[in-house]
Amino acid sequence: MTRLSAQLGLHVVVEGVETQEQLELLTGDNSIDEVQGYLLGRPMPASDIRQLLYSSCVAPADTASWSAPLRQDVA
Amino acid sequence: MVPAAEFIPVAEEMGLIVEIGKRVLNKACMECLKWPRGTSVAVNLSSMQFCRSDVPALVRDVLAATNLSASRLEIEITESTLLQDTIKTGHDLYKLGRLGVRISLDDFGTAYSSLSYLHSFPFNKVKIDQSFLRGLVGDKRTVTLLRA
Repeated sequence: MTRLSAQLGLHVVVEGVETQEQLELLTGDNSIDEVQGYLLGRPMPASDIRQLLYSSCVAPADTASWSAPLRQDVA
Repeated sequence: MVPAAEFIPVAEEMGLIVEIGKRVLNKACMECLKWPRGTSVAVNLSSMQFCRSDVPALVRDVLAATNLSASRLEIEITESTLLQDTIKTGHDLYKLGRLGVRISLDDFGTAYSSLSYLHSFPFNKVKIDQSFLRGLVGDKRTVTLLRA
């Protein structure tokens, strides 16, 4: 699904990453652009998100649900 | 915090989702204006909003009222939204695309999972449902399906 979606020109996100093991399995897949899940961020109040976005110098957040760009990890 | 999976079905059942959806969209756009440049906000819309209201008009009005750039808004819908009224929803998605907002197909892989949806509608992003990851570790068939 990830490769097919990427070939269709879609930005591919895999949801529900909860463990390091899952993250490592996905890191080898170049067709995945982003991952999202409790391992990277949990639901939080808007004020905390604002703080997180301004304090984060690792990577800019892409959405409110706090996704990490996987390609940076691959590189 | 009450999980969305709990209150959304109740709001839909009580017919409140259209009004709640409007407020959420407005609030999300207002909040995004306070975020660093280059960030964007993603808002989930319910199938009932597409059935019972004019979503492109709502989005256009909220963007105009908040002055948020369309490129900073992402609309997420699920496959079930497309199943409700495929033609009308499709038209609405194209109108949204023309406004300049990005459109994501959320929870892909849970319902009908029609691959034709991926290229028949103007999606920019596909979000593959968490159920695939749950079975991923140690299951070669799930890995194969995910990576196909």
